[in-house]
Amino acid sequence: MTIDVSKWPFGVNQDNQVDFDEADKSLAMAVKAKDPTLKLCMGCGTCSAGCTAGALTDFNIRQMFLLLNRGRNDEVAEKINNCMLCGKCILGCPRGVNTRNVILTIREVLEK
Amino acid sequence: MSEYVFSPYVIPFTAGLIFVIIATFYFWIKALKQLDPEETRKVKENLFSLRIVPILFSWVKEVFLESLLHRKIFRQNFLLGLMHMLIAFGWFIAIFAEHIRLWVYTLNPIEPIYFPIFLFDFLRPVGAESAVGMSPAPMLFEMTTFMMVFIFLHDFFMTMILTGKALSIVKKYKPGLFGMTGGVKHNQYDKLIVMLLMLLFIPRMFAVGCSVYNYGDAMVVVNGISPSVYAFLSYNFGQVLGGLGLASYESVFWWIYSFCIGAFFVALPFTRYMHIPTEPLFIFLRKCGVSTGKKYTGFSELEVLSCPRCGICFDRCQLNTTPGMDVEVQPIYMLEGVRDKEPDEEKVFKCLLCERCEATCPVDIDISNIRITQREKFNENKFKKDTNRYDYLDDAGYRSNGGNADVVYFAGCMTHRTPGTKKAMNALLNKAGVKYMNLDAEDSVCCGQPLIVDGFRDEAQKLISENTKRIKDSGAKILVTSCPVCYNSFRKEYDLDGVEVMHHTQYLKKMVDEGKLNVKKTGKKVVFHDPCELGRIGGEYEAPRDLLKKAGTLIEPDDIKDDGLCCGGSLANTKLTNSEERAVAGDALNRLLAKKPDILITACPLCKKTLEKVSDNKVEIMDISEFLLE
Amino acid sequence: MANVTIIGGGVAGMAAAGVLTKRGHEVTLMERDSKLGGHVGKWYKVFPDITDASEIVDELKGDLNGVKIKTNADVKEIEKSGKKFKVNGTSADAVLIAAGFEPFDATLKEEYGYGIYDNVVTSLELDEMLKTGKLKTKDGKTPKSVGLVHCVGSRDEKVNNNYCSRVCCTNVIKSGIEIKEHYPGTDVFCFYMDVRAYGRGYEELYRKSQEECGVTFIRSRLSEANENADKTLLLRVEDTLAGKPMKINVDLLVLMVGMCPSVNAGSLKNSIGLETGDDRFFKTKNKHSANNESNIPGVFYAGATTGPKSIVESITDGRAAAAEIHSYLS
Repeated sequence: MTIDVSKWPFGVNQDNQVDFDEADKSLAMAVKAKDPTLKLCMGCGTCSAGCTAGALTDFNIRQMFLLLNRGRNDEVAEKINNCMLCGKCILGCPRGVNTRNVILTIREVLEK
Repeated sequence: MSEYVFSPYVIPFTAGLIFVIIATFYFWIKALKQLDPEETRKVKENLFSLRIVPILFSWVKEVFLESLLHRKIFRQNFLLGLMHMLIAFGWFIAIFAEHIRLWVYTLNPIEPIYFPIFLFDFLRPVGAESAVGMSPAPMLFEMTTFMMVFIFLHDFFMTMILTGKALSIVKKYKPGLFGMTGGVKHNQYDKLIVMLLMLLFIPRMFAVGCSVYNYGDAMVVVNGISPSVYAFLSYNFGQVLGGLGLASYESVFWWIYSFCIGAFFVALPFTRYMHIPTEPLFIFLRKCGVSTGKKYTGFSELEVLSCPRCGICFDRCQLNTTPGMDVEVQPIYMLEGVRDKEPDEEKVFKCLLCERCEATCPVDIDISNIRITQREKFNENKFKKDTNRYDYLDDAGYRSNGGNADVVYFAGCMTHRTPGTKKAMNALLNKAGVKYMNLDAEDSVCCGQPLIVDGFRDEAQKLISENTKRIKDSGAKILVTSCPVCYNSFRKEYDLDGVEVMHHTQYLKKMVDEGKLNVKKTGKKVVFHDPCELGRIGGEYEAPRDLLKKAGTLIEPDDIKDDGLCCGGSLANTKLTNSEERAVAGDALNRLLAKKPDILITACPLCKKTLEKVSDNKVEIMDISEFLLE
Repeated sequence: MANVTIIGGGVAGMAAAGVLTKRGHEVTLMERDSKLGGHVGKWYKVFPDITDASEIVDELKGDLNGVKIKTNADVKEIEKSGKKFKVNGTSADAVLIAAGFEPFDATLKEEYGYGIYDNVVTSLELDEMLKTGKLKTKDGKTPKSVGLVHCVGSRDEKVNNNYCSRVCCTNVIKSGIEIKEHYPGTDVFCFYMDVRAYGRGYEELYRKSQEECGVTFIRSRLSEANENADKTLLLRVEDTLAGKPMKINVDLLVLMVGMCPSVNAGSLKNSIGLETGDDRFFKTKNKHSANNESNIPGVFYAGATTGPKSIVESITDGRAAAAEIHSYLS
């Protein structure tokens, strides 16, 4: 039996919590299948700290990856195109995530 | 002399030839129709003006030197060049010589198309009227000195071809002698046509040998030279065939020969040998100033068809030569995919765009540009076009400097990761007393080249216009960048109204030449790593070398300039795995350090970072600016 | 009575030598430096109790009666014939490799500016500054703010070191406390990805640094450092908890360098066919039950030669190795 939280009289604000069980993680899985290096991200923020687009907008590449993993795909779609693909992030990533390819793969998967 | 000579065995040959001519025209017209209006204009402009004379002259020269003599391949490897020359030039000149023999005999330039090919049967010496060959009475000639010379030439050219073929067999088993690895995998059509080409000269020699044997006593001694000398191949081989009792099968051999060559022609348009009829047109258009630039056009189509799949690119590609690497993405495969309309994603994207292949392509195909257009095509299918994507740059709030700089320094995104270069450049500019400003010290905007090489040229325009605005606003007349990727972007993609674009190696050389900077000679043994984007793509090999010769002892490893190695860190690639990149970098580093330099010098932040990653403290790696500052 | 040669006179080698000589073995201790003590011998205060490192070295030295000590003895290879070994001409029945580690070469992280900017130093230089009581920037001023960067040369595939150096986190905490205790007016910022304060008393030290000393921890990883005109440093990080890129200026930037295998590890390995792991440290026969044995009988390991270790772990490991060697020789 599934419990429909939205019908409870004391509702939990859907926007304020990550409902991990209900989240659509299929996009994250599709991206990871195409570029497994995304699995290695440990969220250190080296990429976002020096990001060329991140200095000009609220684009945050680390957060993109995290939001994708949490199934908040709409928020990813909103900002993913800000990236200039300059590749500065690749030079910093301590885990060897192929960031440019991951960005392109996310775009590709989102547009499908 | 207009007696009509015919034998049914000419039909396969003639049919094949007509087929290949029609196919060639089909491909030519199709390509010409797809030319860009701008390209058509260029061709027409040249075609109907006096410029056509030098164009034709250099066209003939190039077709002769490259398509027939294969000069570029000779430079690559003597044996490889020799093999190609013997087959291509030998075949061409053999056919040409037989035409001359016929024309001089008939004094009629319009003879049936098949005539010169089967000339040994159709045109017989006096006294051989009733030889075995074909049924109608053939045309007869007196064995003059002229005829003797041409029979000799035929044999000589056939020997060239057969030697070439023999070399190609040696190449198959000992590719190393030809400077090749022999790892190219050809498709079955290509394998078939190589077989046909290999085969068709054998029945020809059998047929010609039988003919000459059947001439019998008509092969007389001329000017004291016996037929076993002037017809050293056909006469002597004929004697062997006659001795084996095969001479009576002469027409059978002519049939087999005709079939082989007919089949060769029919197969040709479906194989790599399509480059033979396409190349002359391709070279002509290039002489008219056409090249594959930013768009894939009919000309690109011709380029693709002109790829002979010789495999030289394959052997140059570091994704092939690096130990442990085995991917089929080289131009030979990529262009084949484009031709068959189905290049897969890996073939198009898994490439460093280092242009090592392009530097030695014997046909001079614009490989990288074709690859980029293919990437664009892929992206069009995958992504919605969104040229407003970077409109946020309008709100970036760039602060003007008041337009009073003489020089504007754009370090480049990557150079922010190698602050040593940035700091050294600032120190050197200060030392030289230059009035300069840093354009990208705070909120930088990418030059756009990473987007372009990934196949997003339209999207990159916004970045280009934003940077253009900032550069022009600086008031500077010279733009200096430390990143060769940016250098090419500014040079090729920007319209900067007379602002001179220089890579820092070029600008430092200018400063030294003008006496504004002094360089002290140190005893350090240095090796210079040519960054692909600066050298092969940017065309700058000498500026860094001039500087390094002044500041140290420059030693040159084997792979320099056009042969320079890619570090593997190229931004043009998104598909290489980390371990593959590391393998390419490690191999390149080992080859650069073969002569044990004290310092490895480069002039690209990406090369520096990538090589450092695998250096394991084996050698000090510096940017040229840091070295000069020391 | 058997001969044992120990390569490396750091805490692990000294601890092992002390035990073995008490068990009656003829021990030769080879140290490439001019005096015993290894890295610990050069340090100032060590965690978790912020004692003088020299006290530890002196205590270990006290057990070395009867040990043949050879300093300035750089061992690059071991010879083997039958069951006997020869190290720099001295024959031995068993060899203990306690070759320790090398600090990571911080110039390899160019974007951090070590060797390029005036006020970027390593943890070793910070320790020296604290020891001499001169925590100063290049121009001789006491820094108003110090940035301590975790994981420099550790957990970083870009420098080919995927492993964690384990002790740097607690070293950062200890250093932060020391700075704050001596220079209360100086702000200390720690840029950490995770705080791995794993040993007894380490977490308590972490608490102390926050509660008593006011050290600030910023969850981030340094992306790049830029030098300002006044030679202070502008750091670019992402405050990953706030989810925003962050700019912060510090007067002095300290890179907490990790541990790399000893420079001699490669040649020692090749000389008699020892094995190393992906991390290039020596590989033990079994990670659980034979963590001091090599793949060659008679050759043993102790200390940081088999991977980053704290001082207490190295000493314990040295003594464990001594026990193994004793059983092997009996």
